[in-house]
Amino acid sequence: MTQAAYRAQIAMAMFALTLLAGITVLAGCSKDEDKKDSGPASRQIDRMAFPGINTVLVPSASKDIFNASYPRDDNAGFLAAFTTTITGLRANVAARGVTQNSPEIGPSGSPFTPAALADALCPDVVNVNLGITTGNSFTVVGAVPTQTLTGLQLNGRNLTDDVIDAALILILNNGAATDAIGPKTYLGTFPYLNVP
Amino acid sequence: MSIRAWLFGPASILLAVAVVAGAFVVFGSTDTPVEAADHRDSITPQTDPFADINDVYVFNDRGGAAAADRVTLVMTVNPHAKGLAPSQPFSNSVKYNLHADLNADNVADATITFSFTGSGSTQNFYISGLSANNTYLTGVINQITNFPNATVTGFVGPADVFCGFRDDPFFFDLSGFQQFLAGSYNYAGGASGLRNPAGATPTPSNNFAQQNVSAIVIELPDSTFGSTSASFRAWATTTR
Repeated sequence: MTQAAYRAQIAMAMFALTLLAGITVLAGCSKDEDKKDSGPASRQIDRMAFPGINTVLVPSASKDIFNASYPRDDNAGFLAAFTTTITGLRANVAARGVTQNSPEIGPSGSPFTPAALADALCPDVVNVNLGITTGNSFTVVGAVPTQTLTGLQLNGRNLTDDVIDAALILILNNGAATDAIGPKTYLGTFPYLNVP
Repeated sequence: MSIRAWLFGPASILLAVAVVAGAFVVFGSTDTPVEAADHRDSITPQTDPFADINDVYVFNDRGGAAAADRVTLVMTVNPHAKGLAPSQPFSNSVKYNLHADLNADNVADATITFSFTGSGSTQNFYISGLSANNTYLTGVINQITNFPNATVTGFVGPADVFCGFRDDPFFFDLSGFQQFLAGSYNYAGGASGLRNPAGATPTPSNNFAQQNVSAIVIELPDSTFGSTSASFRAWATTTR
C-alpha cells in the first residue's frame, strides 16, 4: 500500500471514530462537518446540491469560495448575490425577446420575484421528502405576461428531471423557455445510470 | 407561509449528501473541459477533475426508479469524453461525501463517505457512516455490491452500491446556452431552444451525449433516514 493510501486509511478510520457507534438510522447527533480528520488538514474542493447554482447564480469571483463553504452559511454569503444575478439575467433576456411575466411567474399569488426565487434556491441543498414522489416539476398555466405555475414540486432529483428547462423558466421568468433537449436513456434497474 | 415552506412543506429534513471527492492526482484525461452546470464550475474543480462534482441525484421508488421503500443517492464526478477515460475512476486521496441534514438546520448531521484505494480496474471502495465505528463497507469498483442486513454490525441494510464509470446522465445544450449569452439574436425557443435558427449551428444538441463520468450510486432503505416518510436535506462535497 502506498504511503498516501496508508494515510488515507488512517484518516478514514479516524473519521469513522467521529461517527456514532452502531448506526442503524442516521441520527442527528454529531455536527460532523465541523470535525476534521486527525491526519493532514483536509480541504473542501467542490460542493454541490441543486444543479446550476454555482454555475449560473454565483458570481465568478466567488465560485471557489462557494465550493469551499457550507450550506449553513449560504444565506449570509450568497442570498443577495443570487437575487442580483437573477435580476440581471431577467433584464438581459428581456432585451433579447424573452417577454417577462408580471407579476413574475410562480404559483398563483406567490410570484417568484428575484428575492423569492433566490430564497427558494438558497441554501444550496437537495430537499427530500421520502413520503411523496421525488422529482422537480410544475405546469405552466396561461400565456405571457400573466403565466402562473401549478403543481410546483422540488423534491429530490430524478435522473429524468429536466432541471435545465425548469431553471430557464423560473430564472428567466418565461414559461416557454427551453433548451429543447430531453433526457438521456437510463437503466430500469440499479445502478440506473447507463453503461459508459 | 414563505415560498420555501410552500414548496417543501413542513419538516423537510435535508440530507446533505455531499459526496466530496477528495483531491486526486490528475490522470490522463485529455478531453477539452466542458464548463457547465457544475461540471467544472470553477477554477479549482477544473484543475482537479477527480474532485469535480457534476451532479447529485436523490430519488425514491415513488417518482424515480428506486425499488419500493428505498432511496437512491447518486454523485457523479470527473467528467470526461467517451473513449478518453482516466486509468481509474476515483482518486485515492479524495474523499467523496454525501451529507445529510436531518433536522432542517442546514448543518450536516451525518455523512456517508466514500474513499478508494488501489489502482486501475481493481480499485476498492470503502464506505464510512453506515456501520459501526472503525468499520466500513468495502467492495470493488465497476460492479454492483449488495450489503445485506447481517454482515456488518449496526448496519440496517440492505444497501446496493456501485462505484465506477457510467454514462453521464446530464443533458443540456450548453453550446446553445453559450451562443445565446454571447450573441445578440432574439430567443427563438420551440425546436430551436437557445439556438439562433438563422445562425450557423441552429440545431440544439446535448453536449453531454458523448460524456462519461465516475459515479457513486448507493441505494438504501428509507428507514436509514428515519422512515418511509422521512425528510432530509442533502448535498455532496469532495475533500482532499
